[in-house]
Amino acid sequence: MTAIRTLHQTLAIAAAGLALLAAAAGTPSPRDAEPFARAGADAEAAASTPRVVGARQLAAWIRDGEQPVRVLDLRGDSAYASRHVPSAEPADFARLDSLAAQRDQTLVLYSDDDVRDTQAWANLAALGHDRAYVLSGGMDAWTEEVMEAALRGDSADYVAALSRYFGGAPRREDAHPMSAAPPSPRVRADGERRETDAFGEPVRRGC
Amino acid sequence: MSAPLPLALAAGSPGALAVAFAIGVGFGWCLERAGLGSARKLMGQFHLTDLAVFKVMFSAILTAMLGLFWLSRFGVVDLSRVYVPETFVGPQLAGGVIFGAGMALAGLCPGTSCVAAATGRVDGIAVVAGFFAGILTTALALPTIALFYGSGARGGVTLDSVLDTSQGVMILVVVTIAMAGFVAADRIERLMARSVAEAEP
Amino acid sequence: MSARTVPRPYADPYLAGVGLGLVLLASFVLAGRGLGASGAFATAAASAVNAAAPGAAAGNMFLAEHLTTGGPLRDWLVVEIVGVIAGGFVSAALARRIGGRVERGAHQSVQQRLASAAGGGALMGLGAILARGCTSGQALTGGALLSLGAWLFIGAAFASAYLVAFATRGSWR
Repeated sequence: MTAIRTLHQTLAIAAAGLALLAAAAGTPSPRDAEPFARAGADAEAAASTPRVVGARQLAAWIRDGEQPVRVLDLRGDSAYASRHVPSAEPADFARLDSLAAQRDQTLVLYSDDDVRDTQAWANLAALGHDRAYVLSGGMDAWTEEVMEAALRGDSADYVAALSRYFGGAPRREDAHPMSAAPPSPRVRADGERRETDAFGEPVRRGC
Repeated sequence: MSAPLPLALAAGSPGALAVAFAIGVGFGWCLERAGLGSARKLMGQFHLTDLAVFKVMFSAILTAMLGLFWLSRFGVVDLSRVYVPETFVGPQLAGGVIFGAGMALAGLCPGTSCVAAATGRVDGIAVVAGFFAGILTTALALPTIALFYGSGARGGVTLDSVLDTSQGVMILVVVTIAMAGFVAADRIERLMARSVAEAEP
Repeated sequence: MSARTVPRPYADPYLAGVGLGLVLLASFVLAGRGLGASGAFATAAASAVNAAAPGAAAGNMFLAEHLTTGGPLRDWLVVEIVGVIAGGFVSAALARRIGGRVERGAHQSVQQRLASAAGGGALMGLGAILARGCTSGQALTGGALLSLGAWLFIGAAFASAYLVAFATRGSWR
């Protein structure tokens, strides 16, 4: 019995020690990598794996107001003026510095070329802001999945309500259940298409 | 240079599934060794006579939590590639209440019911069957509560950002609370054992 | 009972817990994800529905996410649960704890026990879907990752379990 007690005490001391050191260290980021060095060396890696949010999930965030987000439109003033995601603000790369300073603010970035929003996300990440998302599919995704959402299956009512909240015009797609398209192949290699769920979110395997 | 771990294994590939199987074997082994495949032992937690569930669960959480922090700190693991479950406040609170009630009735949780079934316990098999039926029924009926189901979404938010502190400090807080819990658990078990002994003539 | 059939005692919970924590850590570092159980059942349900009525699973918001190309045995969690069953079996076999039985209270009939087991299981199914996981996926995995929702789940589940266990304590005496 005493052997086990000694073992318990050893484990307890080890845990306490590691926890105290962790509190002193603060962040689990690798200690010898500076944010800017990481941005330079890993810009490619970082730029190809931004945190994404689907258009419908973003719509839910904006509508429900539970997760306060600032939506930033990177497409330029004339594109913004013609139409934009409701509640979005026009932004450019110069503004990113001041935005990065507000670490507690969740930001959602979008453009229409998959490049500017990803680059902006990488810049923010390099500046230490880790609460930014890229709207998956950009402005086009907002239009297709929210404003002109195709309604099918059991999520139809939910998606329709979401769409109409923003003044959208969802259309009922009267597809026969048997002809529903199977989900696209689930391949995790970067750059390839991922399955999306009813929110348009890339499928992340849950528990 | 980016961290070598986690391994970049394509979903569904033989390598990924081999890892999944090996991890599962370890998981089932540890649960069985701890006796958590037994509903009677598990219920001891909720009758306050045998707090093994609490000890196992929190020892595991502390180990993995500390391990992940330090492996990341030393550049071995890239934390940004580890999937953090998303938070949905309302559904997870409600789901917790319902799940807890079910667990107290069944005496097993989904993972331990598989272990119980594997060791020949028929009640374990019953929990597995009931759980499957519950999942199936809920999934088919889910559209009726779709609005609630998707409510309270907060993404991968963690305790340290909610409490506005660093991950290291949060870890220290969790470790401290867990250790206090372990001390309390031993005391409670001794107290309960004594009161049972005294109750007997 | 001869020495050969006496089951071995259970392991120390702290040591078993550290072992479990190392398995969980291995899962994070090798696979980039934690443990789970309910997801495997969800995949099984999706596959079953898909086999019975091919369009129905794809049209259901929950089941559609759990359809796997190549069948359920290509799903990470399904293979993991197969491992759980194997690991649990071997551990029990080596410790001489295999045996058909129904664990129940002295005052509880087999039928009552099996009914509560199945009913409790069904409730856990509902709870796990709402919570996006169960004790393995949310409490253990999410807990270790400091996920807010996971800790809310832990608190709610334990509180509820204590209340219900207290209310039904007679059946286990």
